[in-house]
Amino acid sequence: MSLSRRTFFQLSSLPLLGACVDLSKEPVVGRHRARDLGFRIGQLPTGQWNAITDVAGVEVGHTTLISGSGKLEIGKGPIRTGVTAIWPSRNIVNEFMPCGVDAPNGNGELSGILQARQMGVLNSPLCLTNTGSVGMVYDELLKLQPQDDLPQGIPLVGETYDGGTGGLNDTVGRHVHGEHVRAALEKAATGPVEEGAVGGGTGMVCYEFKGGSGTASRVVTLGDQGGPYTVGAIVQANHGLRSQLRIDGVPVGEELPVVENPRGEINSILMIIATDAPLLSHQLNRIARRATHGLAKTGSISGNGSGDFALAFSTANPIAREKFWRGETYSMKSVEQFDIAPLLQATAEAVEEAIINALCMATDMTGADDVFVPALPLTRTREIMQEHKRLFELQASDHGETNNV
Amino acid sequence: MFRRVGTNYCLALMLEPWNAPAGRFFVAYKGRHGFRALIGNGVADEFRTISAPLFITPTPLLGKIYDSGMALADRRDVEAPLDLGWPPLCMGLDIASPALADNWQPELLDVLTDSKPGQAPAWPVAGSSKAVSGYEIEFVRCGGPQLSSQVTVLGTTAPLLPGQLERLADIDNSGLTVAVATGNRLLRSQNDQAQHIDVVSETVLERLVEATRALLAEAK
Repeated sequence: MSLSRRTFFQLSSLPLLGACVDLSKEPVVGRHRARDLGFRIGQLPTGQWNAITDVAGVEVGHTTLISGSGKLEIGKGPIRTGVTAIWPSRNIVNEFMPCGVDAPNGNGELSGILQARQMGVLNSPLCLTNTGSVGMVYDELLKLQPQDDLPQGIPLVGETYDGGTGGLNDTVGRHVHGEHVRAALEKAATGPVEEGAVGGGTGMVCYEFKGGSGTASRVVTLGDQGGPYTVGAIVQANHGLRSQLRIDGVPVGEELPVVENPRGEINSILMIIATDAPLLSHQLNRIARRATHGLAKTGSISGNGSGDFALAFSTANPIAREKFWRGETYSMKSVEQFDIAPLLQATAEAVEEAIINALCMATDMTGADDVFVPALPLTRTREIMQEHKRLFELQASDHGETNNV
Repeated sequence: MFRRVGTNYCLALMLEPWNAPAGRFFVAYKGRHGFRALIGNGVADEFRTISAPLFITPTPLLGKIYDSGMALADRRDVEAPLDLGWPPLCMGLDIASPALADNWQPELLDVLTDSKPGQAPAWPVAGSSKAVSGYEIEFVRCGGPQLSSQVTVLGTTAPLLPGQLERLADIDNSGLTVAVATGNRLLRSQNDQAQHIDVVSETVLERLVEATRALLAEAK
């Protein structure tokens, strides 16, 4: 889904702030990012693309697999899944990056989390996919590791669940294969990031609306520690109950029709945060922990059945693989611990907006056994936001140069 | 690397002179076997740094010693920010407390500030040190005989990050193991430069871990 500059300016010309305006007369056509709809999340300015790719060197690519319809036949489909690849840098297997992790509710999988906790480094691209496909994606990523006498890195693969009763995808069929991983890695790029029902987020459901992939970013300065530094987030959103959904603090979910959901909240979210601020692994653990605050602001309480993981990495402290394993010492830089506060706020805001972007950009989807998951109704949502006086005019400063995708 | 100072009821492990300009060192700790007698660890949990001496005392005195650590921090720099100079990390031993004189705190502070000579603690203290890869490692152990009441402090002059210190602490099995590294002394930044941090490689870390393991084994 893309938003042309023309559509952007058509939307931006709407008199969004005036309480007298009846937005029901201004139906939203197509899918648009949260800011383009007049939803303003947080206080900090965004980066150029309002995406994780605003952090220099970070690239994202999706492989989206959609085929078949009707009754579920395990191994055949319908298929509604994919894989999202994130390169912290193209040289990550040779130049590690410090990272930190947090798991507000760990009923899921993020492979490599023990390496992250034990050694505090990232040494592989990250991939996000469905529950059944973790092993094959891991296997493919492992092939990127150097073949020499130094230890190999542990690939990081996260999953959320798109199968089972009420699920859209034939998860058990394990339809993500090596070629799909390679394609996502190869097509990864900087710049705008495709959002919604794409990549690993293809079959995901968020607050009982169609969910998936979303991204956002923030730019901050740190007092005497300089900057500006960018914090970018990408999420694979597959969590929450409809009644919980909040946008910019507005209880949108309570004002939208209730749906019957025998599954309860058994799903999950993956939150990946990148920054170019010079942080060490224990500081990145704190950054990862703040992702939960962004998640909570959208309404989630990290359900008991949820696999909610956050991983944060810094591109500012590359560590040569040889030095990490076999050198004597190496050097890094670190933001002074009491000047880190703006980065914590930026993380919470970027994650919050990334989740809302995933909802706003995802489209209706029918999947296995004709399960239908509607997209968040944008026209009605704007009405609710206006009723709560939380609909804002677009401002160029909110968007960096442009965030059209 | 630890300078031991104190009285018969309080052992302070000084990482640097009590009145050194406030700086921070990376720290990690691990509690096991139901050990609970640790206070002053909030800042260590959040920032993974410590900037005060480490105190070991009978558990009933934890509050008093914590208060003394705060008083020491005030003498060091009363304007020091929250995470510079306090809180003191105070570890409790499962032993009875001696009776304290009315003026115990001024006397303790005199000892901690080197104005008066101190005493050896009233309980046995084990410990030793060795050099490895150009760095010093040391351990100090009190308490026991049950593991659940044993406190071990590991120190190294090597530049270890908090996660690496956790791995060092992991090799011990005391009720509480605290690991601290003085290889990076973090100061409040006075300019717009990020702080420079040194880190040992996995190879050096493994040497330190093995040497510490041997040191602890010898102590048994």
